[in-house]
Amino acid sequence: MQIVKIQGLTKKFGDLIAVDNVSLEIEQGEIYSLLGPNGAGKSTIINIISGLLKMNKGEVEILGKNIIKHSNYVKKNMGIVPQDIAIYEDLTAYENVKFFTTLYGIKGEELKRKTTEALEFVGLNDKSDKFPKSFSGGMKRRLNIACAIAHRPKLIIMDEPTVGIDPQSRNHILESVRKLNKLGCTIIYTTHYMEEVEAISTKIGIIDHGKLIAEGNKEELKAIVTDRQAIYITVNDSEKVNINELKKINGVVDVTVDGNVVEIDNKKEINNWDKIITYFYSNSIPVKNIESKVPNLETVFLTLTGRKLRD
Amino acid sequence: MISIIIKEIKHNFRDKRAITLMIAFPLLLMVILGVVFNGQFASNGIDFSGAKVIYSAKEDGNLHKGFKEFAHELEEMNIIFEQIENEDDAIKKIQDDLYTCYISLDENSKELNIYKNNKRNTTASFIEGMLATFVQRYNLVSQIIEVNPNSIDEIMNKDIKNDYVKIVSIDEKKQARAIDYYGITMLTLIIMYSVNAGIFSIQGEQTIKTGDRIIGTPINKYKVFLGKVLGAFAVTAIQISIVILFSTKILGVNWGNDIVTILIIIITQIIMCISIGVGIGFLVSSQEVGNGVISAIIPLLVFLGGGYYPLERIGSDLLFKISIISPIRWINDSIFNVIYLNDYKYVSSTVVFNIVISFVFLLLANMKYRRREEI
Repeated sequence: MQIVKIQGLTKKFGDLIAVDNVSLEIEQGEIYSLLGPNGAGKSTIINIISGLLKMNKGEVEILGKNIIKHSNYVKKNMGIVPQDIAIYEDLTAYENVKFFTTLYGIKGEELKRKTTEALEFVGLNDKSDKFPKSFSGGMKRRLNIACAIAHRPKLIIMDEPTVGIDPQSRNHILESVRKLNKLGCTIIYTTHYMEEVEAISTKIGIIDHGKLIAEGNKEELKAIVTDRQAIYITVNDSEKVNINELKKINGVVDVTVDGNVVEIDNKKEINNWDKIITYFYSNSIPVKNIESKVPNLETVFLTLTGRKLRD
Repeated sequence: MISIIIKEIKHNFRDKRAITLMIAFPLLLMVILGVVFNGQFASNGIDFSGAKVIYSAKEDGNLHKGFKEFAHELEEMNIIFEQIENEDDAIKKIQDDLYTCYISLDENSKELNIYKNNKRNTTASFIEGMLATFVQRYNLVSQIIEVNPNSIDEIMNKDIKNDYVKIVSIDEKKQARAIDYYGITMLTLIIMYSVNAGIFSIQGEQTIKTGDRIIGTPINKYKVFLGKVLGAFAVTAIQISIVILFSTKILGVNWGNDIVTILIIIITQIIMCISIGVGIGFLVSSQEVGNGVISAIIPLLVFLGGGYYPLERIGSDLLFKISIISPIRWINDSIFNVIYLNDYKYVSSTVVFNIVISFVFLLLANMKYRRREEI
């Protein structure tokens, strides 16, 4: 069953085209990740689906219903985890979840049960009577999620839910996403963390400058760049490395330096390793380690857009 | 909608700053100003002694005779009556602030007109109230005499003065002390700051991003709007009730005998302030901007309304004319007149004005709300 269907979605802010004729479909049970750098248009798409922004052109259907004509039905079946932590510091964790759940028309015993279950789900049941001002960033993010899932939505939209938190809380959130998915929820997940996308997604859409430039599962996307390999050369002193000289070597597509690691995006079919190593040897740059990796989504993004995800 | 109202109440009662501002602050001000200005009020209260009234009577007759008796009774309260021939001169003397009011009697038409000196509004209103009682009594006596002329002696032997006093209740206990004056003006002052509650109810959600989250739920956006307005109203009403209760029971502030009318005036003031706040909340870009505007305007309106010191005692004609723009003045005047003069003539206009202003700002807020982009 199709949960989300977007056709020709366009959104302009003045002269800026934030979302440019995007079409995509999401099937039930998928974890669909929208991957793209800041300002790519991910949040604008999410805000349109959530009903926070009007589109200029196009059509969006959620659970087979038009989001404008059937906004009440759509909103009832959708949970939104906003990018910014949107909770009340002066309400307890329990009161926060309970308040947002009442807005979905849930009352009485069912309200209490669902509130408690949502807090249990995100691991905050022992903090239910505490105020969020005493919480860590990760705990606030988890409460942010609890407020969006207590009413048991069929579609959950998570807009960069792991920004600015510690690895432990990030893992907890990613695990929650998998658990929600197993419980039957379809999830739209936006992020600019490539490793998160690799870890949880069943389908990925790559967005850049408001356009959906590629879509598919991890393997399908990596297949776009099967002709490439990434060579990582660790040196003692990267300041001596002349990127332009390296780029002149036949088969080298791009070179970036990150600390003491020189990353070379290289064409697979051209045998040029000897020339690369000679460059370092002849320029008296001692090499500590050489490593070659298969392409990841970062490489895919770099290939498709010419820039890194976090540029 | 109930859950939104409850949430607003929880927010406000857990905010120590708001509680201090809305409850402790006015009570503290009542005590401080009540003590500091005690001498100025306690010695003469709303003291009518020494007030000078001029009057003219076109012909001598029963009305003039009755009026002289009335004047004589008031002279016992040290209110001085002087007769004058020329009406233009009389009005000029009022304009020059030499007399509190001018009363003209017309024996032929049985008409009695009063010209009040606005700078001495309270005293003039007191005399007006007394005069109204006199007129009522005069009309009654005239009608009785028409039916039964023999009853005149019996009627005239009644204690007229006592009747006047009973109706306007100008006994010692009802004279406004400093604590009574500031008990009311500090309350109406602090209600003005409930504009902040209105601004917060709208801008606060945007600042902490919960507003978007609420819009993402299926709740009707007008229920959200109404819930926020009612929530802010409920919060202020509870806070103000505590202040009134405390000021009455502990500080002994005089709220008069007709608390219902006083409450109606106060409630409409709260509605007006919340509505202004909600309107500003939609019109300005951030809570800080809204609060800045309010912090600049409210003290001025309160000053013009006699909130810090009775304006008529400052004696500036210009200031008195300008003060008409302050809703605090209408509200304070209405309340004082009800408590001390049994005079209700400002009540309806004040209530209507408060409601009209509320309506205008809610309409503005609603227009801005409708134009928001969200679906």
